[in-house]
Amino acid sequence: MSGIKAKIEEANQKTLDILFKGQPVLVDIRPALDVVPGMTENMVLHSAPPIEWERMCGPHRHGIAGAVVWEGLADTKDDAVTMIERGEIMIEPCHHHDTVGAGAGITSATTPMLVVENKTFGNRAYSCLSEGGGLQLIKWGSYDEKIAENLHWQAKVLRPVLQAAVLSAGGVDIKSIISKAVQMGDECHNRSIAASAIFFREIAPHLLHADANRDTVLSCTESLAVSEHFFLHAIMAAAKAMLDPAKKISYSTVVTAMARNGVEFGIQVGGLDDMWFTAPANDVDGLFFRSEWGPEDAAPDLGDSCITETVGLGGFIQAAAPTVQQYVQGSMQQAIANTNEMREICVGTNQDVQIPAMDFAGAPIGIDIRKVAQTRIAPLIDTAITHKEHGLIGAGQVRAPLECFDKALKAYSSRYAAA
Amino acid sequence: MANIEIKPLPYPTRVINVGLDLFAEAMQEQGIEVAQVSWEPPVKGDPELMAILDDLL
Repeated sequence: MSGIKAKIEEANQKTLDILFKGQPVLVDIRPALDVVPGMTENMVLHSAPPIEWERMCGPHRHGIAGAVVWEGLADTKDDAVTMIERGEIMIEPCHHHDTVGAGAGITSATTPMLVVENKTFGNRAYSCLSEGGGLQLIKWGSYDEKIAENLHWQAKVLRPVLQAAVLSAGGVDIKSIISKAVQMGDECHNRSIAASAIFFREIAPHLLHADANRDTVLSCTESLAVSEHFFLHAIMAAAKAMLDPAKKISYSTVVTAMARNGVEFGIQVGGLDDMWFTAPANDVDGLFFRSEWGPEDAAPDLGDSCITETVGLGGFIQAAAPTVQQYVQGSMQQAIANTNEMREICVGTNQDVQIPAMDFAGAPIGIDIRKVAQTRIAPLIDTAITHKEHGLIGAGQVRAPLECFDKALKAYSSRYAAA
Repeated sequence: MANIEIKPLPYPTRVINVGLDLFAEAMQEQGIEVAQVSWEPPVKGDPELMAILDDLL
């Protein structure tokens, strides 16, 4: 094996070791201004990769303007847009602040944040609380009085109650919940119902430790009980907390982040620092929730949630979640074939995530840009479909653009092969 | 050059052909059972990427 190939193998094994040793734990629930590195009162974060305001998709523009109004910085969304265009609002990707955001990823100073700590390496990652179910949420770029009211309730009422519960519980082991949930039919991206149920079972007894009256605790309990996908955001933050220590490993060809901003798809690679390699985002193939909606209404692929696929969940383990195939009129056989296909572009197997339908085989983990370029197999992502203006309109699957990986490979070669 | 006698294989032959369809077609015309496997050069023959993969993988 040549010198550089040996260095790559060593770096990728080190990366796998970091991923396997990661211990993401939910440790706190705090306002973004208090905990998110670099957050300011006039900042709004969005799903990556970075993009200028003028090129942003509808869900980002509507969601960011809505957040500016919600934070009290502007009276109307039109005023918010004026402030943004004057440069008075800082707009940056969640990923640049140790944060991940599902959908439009709208995160601002008052947003209540899940605080996840990787106990092995001491780093933290953050994600906003899930707003609950519904097609019109700020995470999908929507903003109105009802959405604002829910955001206020979450920030002022739910956050302190949930914080008290998490502290009383001594933290919540997310890795353990993921392992169990996958064996209960979740792939932990488009389906996180089992994970949310396990979380609720663990946290429910601790909700009573909050310094709040009975009605308040009851309303918070009810909110958590009906939020079927509440835990997705914690899983996302856990994935980022596991991946961030794998960044800046010289010679690593393993992908450390994938994200979509509704215009472009971007990846980051362990051996290439924080550089983004981007290409036009693909359209999501799937099921629309109402007959009046179709592909012409949809925004291209959007959200930081494919951080789950980046650690080998979601589209990488479709075989664990047969119900997800309904979104693409697929089959169990196809789901298994898709999971096997993802193995071909990964460097390792994760025995902490075992797939019952495949005789408890471990999940593929560690996307290798070399293998993607060679096989032309693009990472498969389970994801939502967002309306091109705002709102959730469907769910399905999408492939990452191969161009991102080709660009990354060429940059990698320029840095390392010439050295 | 010595004469080389080409004899048919003494047992039934089934072939897997990877790549060029022409080879599979030629065998089929001779009555040989062929399974054709679709394959093309990696990275669609992009010379730069192929060279990079030769160095790195």
